[in-house]
Amino acid sequence: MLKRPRIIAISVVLLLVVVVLNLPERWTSQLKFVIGGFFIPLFGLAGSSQSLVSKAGDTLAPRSALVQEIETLRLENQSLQIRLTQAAEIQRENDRLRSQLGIARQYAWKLKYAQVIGRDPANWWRAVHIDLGARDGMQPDLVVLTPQGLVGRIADVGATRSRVILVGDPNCGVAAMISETRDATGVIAPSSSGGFDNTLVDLTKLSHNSNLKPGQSVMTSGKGGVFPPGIPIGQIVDSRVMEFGLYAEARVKLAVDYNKLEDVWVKMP
Amino acid sequence: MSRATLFLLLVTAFIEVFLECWFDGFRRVLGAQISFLPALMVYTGLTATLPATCLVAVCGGMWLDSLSSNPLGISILPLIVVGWGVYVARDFFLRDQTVAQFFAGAAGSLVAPVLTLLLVYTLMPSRSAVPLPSVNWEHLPTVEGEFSHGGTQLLRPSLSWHMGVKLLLMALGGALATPLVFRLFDFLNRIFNYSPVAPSSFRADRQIIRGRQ
Repeated sequence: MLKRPRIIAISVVLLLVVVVLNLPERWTSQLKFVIGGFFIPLFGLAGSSQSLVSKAGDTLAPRSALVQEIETLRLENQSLQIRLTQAAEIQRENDRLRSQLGIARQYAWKLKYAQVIGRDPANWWRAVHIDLGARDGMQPDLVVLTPQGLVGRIADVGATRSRVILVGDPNCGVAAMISETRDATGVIAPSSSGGFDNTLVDLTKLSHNSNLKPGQSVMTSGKGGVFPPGIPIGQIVDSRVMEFGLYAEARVKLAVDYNKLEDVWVKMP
Repeated sequence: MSRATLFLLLVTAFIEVFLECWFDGFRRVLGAQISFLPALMVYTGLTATLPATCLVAVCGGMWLDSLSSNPLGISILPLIVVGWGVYVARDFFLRDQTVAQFFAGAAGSLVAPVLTLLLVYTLMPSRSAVPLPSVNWEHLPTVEGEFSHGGTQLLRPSLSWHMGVKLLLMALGGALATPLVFRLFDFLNRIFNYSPVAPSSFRADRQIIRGRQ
C-alpha cells in the first residue's frame, strides 16, 4: 500500500513534527515570529487598504456631520481639561499625604497607542496581534488596556508586532477584586458557562463569605505582580457557591468588547 | 500534478492562513472562525502526490501555528491525517460530484480541529496549576506571574459544550468551502496549465481505404 517515497515523506514529516514540538519554548517563540514574519507584507497591505477605505469614507461624510462632531469633541475636551486640573490637584494632595505617611509615590502611566492587526485563528484561544514590537519598546507582560478597561498582557514580542493574550484566555490569569467591597479578591478565569458570549469570564477563588451582588464592579487588585491595581475589568452578572461552600465564583461581563477591539494602549514600564 | 498547481496550493494556503487571522467576520457572525485549510487538504489529497500533500500540510500547519497560541507544529499532524486519509481513499471518491466534495470537506474540517484539540490536551497541563484558595492570598503572584515571560508551559484551553457547537460550525463551513476550492483550482488549472488535447473524431477502425488491398 505504501511505497518507499511515501514512507520517506511520512517519516520526514513525523520527525519534523517531533523535533519542532520538543524545541525549547524560547526557540519556538522566536521561530514563530520568524515564520510569522512572512505575513508582514500582507498585514501591511491590509492595513493600507483599510486606511484607504476609511479615508474614502471620511471624504464622503457630510460637512455638517463633521462640524457637529468637532463641536462635540471640543466640549468633551473642555470638560476633560477641567477634570485634569482637578485630578492634578488631587494628585498633588495624594503625593503630599503619601510622603507624610512614608508610602512610595505613584507615577502617571506612560501609554503607547497600538492597533489590532489580527486575531488568533484558533477558536480555543483568546489572543490578538498588535502593530508594536521590540523596536517600539515592547516586552513580555506589559499591560494592554483601553479606556473601557483591561484587555490583557503581552505574551510574545517580535520585531514589528506582538501577541497579546486577552483576559479570559486560560493563560491570562488576573488577580481581581470587587471595587465596592475591596476585600473580596479572586482570580479571573475563562468562563465555564459563557456559551458563545465571549464577553463573559469567571471570577473564581473568591472567599465563600464574600458579599457578591450583580452589578458590582470588578477591577485588578494588583496582587498578581503583572497588572497594576485599579484597572476596570467588568461587572458581576451573577454568583454561586462552589465545592460545597469552599469558595465562591461569579460571572463577570467584561468592560471591553473584544469583537470591537481595534485600538489599544500599552502601559510602558 | 504540475509544479504550478503545487505552487498555487501553497500560495492559497498562505493567503488562507492570513485571512483566518485578519478577517473577523465569521467569528462575529457565527461565533467561530472557519478554517479552509482542511478543505484545501481534501483537494490536495485527491489531486496531488503524497509528498506534495505532506508539503502543503507542513507549510499550512506551520503558518497557522505561527499566528496562533498553539504550540508550533501541532497543526501539521491533523492536516496530514486529513490529506493522507483522502489520498488513501481517493479511488473511492467521486471527486467531480459536489455532494462527495461536501461530505469529504465536512469530515476533514471536523477531524482536523478535533485532532488538534486532542494534541493540545495531550501536550499541555490543565488549570490545576492554578492554586486553591488560601486565607491571605499570598499565592496570587503565581497566577499572573507563573505563566509569563515565556519561560514555563502554557495551560490547555477550557472545553465546554459550546466548543462542540463551534467544531460543528467549522465542519459545516469547511464542507461548504470544499466545492468552492475545487471550482477555484479547476479555474486556476485552466489558466496556468496546458489544456488537454481534445480527442479527435477520427476512428481508425472506421477508415475507408479506397483501392485494392
